[in-house]
Amino acid sequence: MNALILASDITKRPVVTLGGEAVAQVKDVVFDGHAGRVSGFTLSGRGLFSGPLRQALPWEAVTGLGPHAVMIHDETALKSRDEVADSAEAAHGNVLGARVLTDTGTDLGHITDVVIEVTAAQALVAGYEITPAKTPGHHGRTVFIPLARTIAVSGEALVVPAAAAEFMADDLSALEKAIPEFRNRMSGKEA
Amino acid sequence: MLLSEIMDRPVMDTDAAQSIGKVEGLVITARPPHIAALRLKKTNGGGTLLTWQDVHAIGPDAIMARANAREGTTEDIAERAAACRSLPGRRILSERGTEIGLLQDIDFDPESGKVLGLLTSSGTLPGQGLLGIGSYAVVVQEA
Repeated sequence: MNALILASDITKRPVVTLGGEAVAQVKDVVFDGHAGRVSGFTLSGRGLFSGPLRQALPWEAVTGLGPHAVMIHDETALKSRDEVADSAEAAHGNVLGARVLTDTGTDLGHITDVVIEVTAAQALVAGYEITPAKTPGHHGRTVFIPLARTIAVSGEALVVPAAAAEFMADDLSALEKAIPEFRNRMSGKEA
Repeated sequence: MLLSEIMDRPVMDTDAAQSIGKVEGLVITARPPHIAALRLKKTNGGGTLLTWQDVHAIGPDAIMARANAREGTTEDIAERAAACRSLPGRRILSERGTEIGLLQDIDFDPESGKVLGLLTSSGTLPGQGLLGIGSYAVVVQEA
């Protein structure tokens, strides 16, 4: 099974070469908004007072994304920040804080984190962590919704099919189970 | 033989019959997994690294080194040595980015200098799975 992880869990993770040197730490995850996948990471230095780096890490150069480190072959994996971040960020910037509305007009809450599904070849956006607006029974506890392939997204709001609300999960393992069912339902509808 | 067994073992110059120092650690290369040098302490001047080629024998009471053993070390080994300073206790990462444990000891062949195994807090890893040794972590192949 492919693991689901939160984008915020990747930030601050060290970037380590196969030679065992930590060359940076992850500052932010960069998403390619069109394809719904991770296109790379912006970096900051590892020292206490070191700021953001000019260099960034494209996803293609990542050899392993584990729970304790992002592994790269060597330092040549790092590329100019513009190559990795610029176009993608401009296309669909930060979704954090955006409202989530169903296509029937229900406000589900706002996005507080992005759920990433890591496969051998790529890292895809699999869903979102949202803090519910005023749903009774949830009382501000965060929930997870699976990502629909057919969504409209802007910095302001994210429109999801009403069915996504039915597949809301309380934690990542529940979301992992909900995703295949949700995708089946969505593909059935589209067909 | 384990690194912990030869720690503090005296190192003698076979020709001059003089003590050069005591073993303080190992300098290892990953590919192939091999000892590159012994790190010595309390040397009377000269380098603190004894390259593996200069090691004549690892005896039960002393390590015998060939004459002129303390001639300058190459830059390459100096760089390796910096990364291999105080290896025990270093974190071990898999190539997929998962922390496996902490390095506790190193098993090596005293004849050939080959690294046979890495003893960790969660078991022994084969030496040939070693991918890299850096100042942040020891990287090994995923089991």
